[in-house]
Amino acid sequence: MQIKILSSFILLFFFTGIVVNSAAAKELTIYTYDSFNSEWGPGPVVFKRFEEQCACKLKVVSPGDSGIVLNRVILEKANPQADIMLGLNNSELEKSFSYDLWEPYRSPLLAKVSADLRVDKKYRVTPFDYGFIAFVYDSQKMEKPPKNLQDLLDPKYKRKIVIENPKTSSPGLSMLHWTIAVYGEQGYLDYWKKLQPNLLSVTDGWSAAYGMFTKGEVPIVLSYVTSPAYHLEYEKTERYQAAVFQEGHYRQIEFAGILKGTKRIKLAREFIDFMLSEKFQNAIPLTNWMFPVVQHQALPDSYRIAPQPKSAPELNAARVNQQNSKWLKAWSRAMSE
Amino acid sequence: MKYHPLRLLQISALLLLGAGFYWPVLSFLSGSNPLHPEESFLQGEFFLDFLSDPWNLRVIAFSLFQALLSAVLSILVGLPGAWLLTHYNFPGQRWFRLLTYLPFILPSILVVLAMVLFFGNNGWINRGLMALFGTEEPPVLFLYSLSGILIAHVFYNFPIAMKIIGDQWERISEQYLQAARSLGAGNMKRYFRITLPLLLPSIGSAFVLIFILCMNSFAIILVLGGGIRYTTIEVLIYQLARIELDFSGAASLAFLQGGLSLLGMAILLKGRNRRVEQKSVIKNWLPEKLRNHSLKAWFAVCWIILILIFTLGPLSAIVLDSFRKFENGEWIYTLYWYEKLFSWRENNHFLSSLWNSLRIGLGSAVISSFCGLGLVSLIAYKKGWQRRFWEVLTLFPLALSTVVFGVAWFHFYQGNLAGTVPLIYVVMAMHALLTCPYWIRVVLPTLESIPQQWHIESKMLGKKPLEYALRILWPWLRKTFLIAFFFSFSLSLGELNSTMMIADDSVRTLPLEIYGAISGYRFSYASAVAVILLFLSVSTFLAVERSLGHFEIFK
Repeated sequence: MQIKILSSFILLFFFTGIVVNSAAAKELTIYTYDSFNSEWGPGPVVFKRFEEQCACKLKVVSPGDSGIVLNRVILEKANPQADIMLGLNNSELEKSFSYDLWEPYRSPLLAKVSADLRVDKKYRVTPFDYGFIAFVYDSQKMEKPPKNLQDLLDPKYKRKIVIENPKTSSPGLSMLHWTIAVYGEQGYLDYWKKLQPNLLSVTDGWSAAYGMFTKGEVPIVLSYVTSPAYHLEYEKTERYQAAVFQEGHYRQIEFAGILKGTKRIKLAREFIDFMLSEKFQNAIPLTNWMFPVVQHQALPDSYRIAPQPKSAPELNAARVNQQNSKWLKAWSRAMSE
Repeated sequence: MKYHPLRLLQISALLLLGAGFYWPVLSFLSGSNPLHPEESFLQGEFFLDFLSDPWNLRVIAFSLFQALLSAVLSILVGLPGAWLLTHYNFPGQRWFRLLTYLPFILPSILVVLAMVLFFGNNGWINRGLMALFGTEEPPVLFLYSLSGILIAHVFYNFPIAMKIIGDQWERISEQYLQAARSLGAGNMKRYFRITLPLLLPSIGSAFVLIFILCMNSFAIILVLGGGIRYTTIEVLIYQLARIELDFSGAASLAFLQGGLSLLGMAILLKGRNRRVEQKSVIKNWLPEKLRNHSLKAWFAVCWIILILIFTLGPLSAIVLDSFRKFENGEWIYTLYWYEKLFSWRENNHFLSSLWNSLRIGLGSAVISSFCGLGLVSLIAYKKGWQRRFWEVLTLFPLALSTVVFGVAWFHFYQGNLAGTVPLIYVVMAMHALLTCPYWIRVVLPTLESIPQQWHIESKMLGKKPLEYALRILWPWLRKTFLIAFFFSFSLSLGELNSTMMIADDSVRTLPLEIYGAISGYRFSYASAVAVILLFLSVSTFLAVERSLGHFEIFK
């Protein structure tokens, strides 16, 4: 008897997974990275707004970080499953161009985006937000923050800094590019070698590094200029601050684009337009913790402690694509000497 | 050949393994993929190039070295545990055992943060010691170096060694030892000459499993190793696949890494022909032995305390973290995150993830058990090359980097299954493939400790195979099955990498929820989800244990 009940429970348990798929007449498929569509990210807010506007259904798939999403799009190239990929960053841009993935579209709203963010002159991808990497510090443990990259080499920071690994994480890679932009290909390795004694750990990703920082393990972490705004907005504290560097900060821009082979080109274009509209852009600061590319309204009050760097040293995207693996190779060898 | 239910099980297990692992992976690697249409992935040139660089050779050497060291240490820590659990009973024993398995369930990001919270420069231990001695500098500094890597790996893996070895130990007949004692062999001599050799098969089994796991370890190596000096093959695979988007390189390296693990296994795995008899050891009641001032008992207590510090410490750091919130620059203690978890709100992903995790975990553990049963019957009692072949064949899914497995599977899924099979079953099958090798490792030593003679005798007595299975195998293996099932379930709960690639929102699981919360700065929320994850697996363990109790009627 008990076995019968048990087995019918088990059957019920597994077959609830099968739900009849009601074929939606208008459905747009969007691929994005996981944290964009997490409960805390912008996804739940902006996707719902778009569904209300377009009277269509969105199917959102978020299989991992942007590297995974791009891999997936490339794998599916012959038989595309998605209409839009949202969340490609500048260091992945050239790679995606080399696979010829995009259906160009020039949104009329793009005119509102400042010229330096419109990186792709062929309109294959459209920027939707941007941010700067920065060293965030705990002001309770450090009175005078470092003022430039050179300050970080000071022996007083011995084993007090945590950064992310350029080989495995996007802020880490940006840090590497930052130092190359500032010190050139001749000087960056030298800088890193001097920085090494001050690094307590070089983590696999942002999560571990920032976790170590907020748990008090280190007073300085590589994060974003907007990180302090989170703490002000949700924790009502200005204890964590971003150190503003004289060299300027390396910029990450995030893009979205329509994928070749889409059967819903009109709807996809509507989404790109929507992405630049206020309904999307206004949600970005407090959910994705990045700056919107079009400022439809003033930034939230908590952004007063997210400094907008005056200058942003940059590397040419084509050069990044060409040299990246060489740089990473040289970096890992220099650092393990 | 006569119809045999086992044959059916063996065939379906092999089909699952072949169609679910070897076919997708091999066809992907041999070139049927859009990332590299013009040539196959595995190019001799790549390997020559890679292996001619001394730096890469150092990476390979370090990967092997740390895995070897971690496995040896895990076994050294696990051995006293195995001895303790087979020779003593003590209050809270069951809970102690369960506790040691728990780290396994947690996603690696939380294990890493838990270690930092507890052992870090500003962690509990150091703050406690600093307050005690009034010093300014943290006295315990083993994190962020090789010892950090090793300690985290031992923390993770010693329970495997304890479980697998302990199971075998329980079957060692006291008669041998008594005979040896009467011949005047001392304690040490008895241990090294009799007990240890009898335990060797299980030690080998545990060693192989832990070795492979540590070869594929990733977050622990980078964060707790300090990040730069210690690089492993897995880190390079990750770099190629995720950052440089050079998939052919990643796949080739994954193949190399898997091959190295296999080579290690082929050398280590040996056929076993030792006979052990069932003879239940009479266990001593630990508190009583303590009162008698038994030196061994005191050693046991020291070991228990050490393990409690190492396991309970980081785990309770997570539990505590889930009850606190940072506000106005201060930490306050609150139920806020739990209220948030269970509050009804529009975007509550937590509850659906909980449901998915539970379904996928149980489903994959059931598949894994059947698949494992089929495969284990192919390995058991075999010797020589035949045995090695089956063992290596069943272990390979574990040795291949999950990053590459995920992509290969995704390609396979897109081409063959998408639209016909609901995604959730695909995920269950994938998890089952990854957890099945554990199942086999856990069950195999115990199964083989059953004298083969019994089978022959029962045949001679005209008993049907099913009757033999129910009357003899089941009672003997029941406890082991439970643990194996629980391992599979727990591993599935924590699994993330391989399924990420094919996942969509219908199969969101709790680890994904944890990562999502952390990337949205909600670290304490993530801890709260982790506590639920732990709670879930403990209650599943107890439920399965209870329901297995009902099957006693077969005895």
